Amino acid sequence: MFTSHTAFVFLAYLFAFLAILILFFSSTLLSQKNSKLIEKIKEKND
Amino acid sequence: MINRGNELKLQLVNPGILERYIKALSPWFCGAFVISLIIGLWFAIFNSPPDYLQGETVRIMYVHVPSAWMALFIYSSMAVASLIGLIYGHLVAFIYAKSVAPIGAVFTLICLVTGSLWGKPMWGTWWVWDARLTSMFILLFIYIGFIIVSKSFNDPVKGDKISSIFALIGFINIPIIKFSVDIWTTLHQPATISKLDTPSIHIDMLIPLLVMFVSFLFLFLYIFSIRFFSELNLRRYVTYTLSSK
Repeated sequence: MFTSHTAFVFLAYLFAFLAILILFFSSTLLSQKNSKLIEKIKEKND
Repeated sequence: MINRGNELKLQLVNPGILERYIKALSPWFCGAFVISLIIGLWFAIFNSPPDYLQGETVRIMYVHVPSAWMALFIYSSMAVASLIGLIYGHLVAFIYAKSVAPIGAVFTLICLVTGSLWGKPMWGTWWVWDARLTSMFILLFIYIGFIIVSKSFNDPVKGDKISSIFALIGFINIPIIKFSVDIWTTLHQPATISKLDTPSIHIDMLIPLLVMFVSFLFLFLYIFSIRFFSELNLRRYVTYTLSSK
């Protein structure tokens, strides 16, 4: 049965999930951005 | 003459070779995280008993406690890496500390928010300024401070040194967090798992807790592997830009 206590549990898991998702996507985007910087160096050297 | 053990050590302190090792391990970390998360969530939500006092709310523990452990573990490892970096001046140690700081900050935030969501139905309040909660809140600001300091210098060598000193000073907070519940009177409960005698938690609750911790550990390793390449590439770019000026 969905009680107010279950709502707190749901909110806690939802927050953790969203925080991890944001961390994952921000890390991936940053990694892609920095990889492009290396490609720039390679292009310059070529 | 270099033996095999020393050869491996030399390879691990070489950023380029270490990058190859981590790149090979990264998909395994991701796979292990997904599998352990599924098992952990199944145990935490469907296969663990409600608490006799707290009822279903106790399930917040399976996210809250592993996040707190991760936040403390990551900061301790950051402090060790900073110390190694300051003593030996090694790039890998500095890159490690810089890569893991945002991950530690997110785990600290998860710990604080889930703790608050647990506190409201159990204590009747979202927040109290007691020793455990306040010291954990300070940890979040130490993480944020480290991230800001490490990004504040155009010269990466100077930035590494200053941020490492900052990390070492901030380490004072870790034993304060750990022992805050023993030293001061707090609303937060004392340690239940890391007691020197037997843990005062039932095995049915201990299993999901440990599985969720293992899951978070693999998540940390996976995101660290992503951030490590990113930081390494940034260093290569900055070094190239500075040397070509």
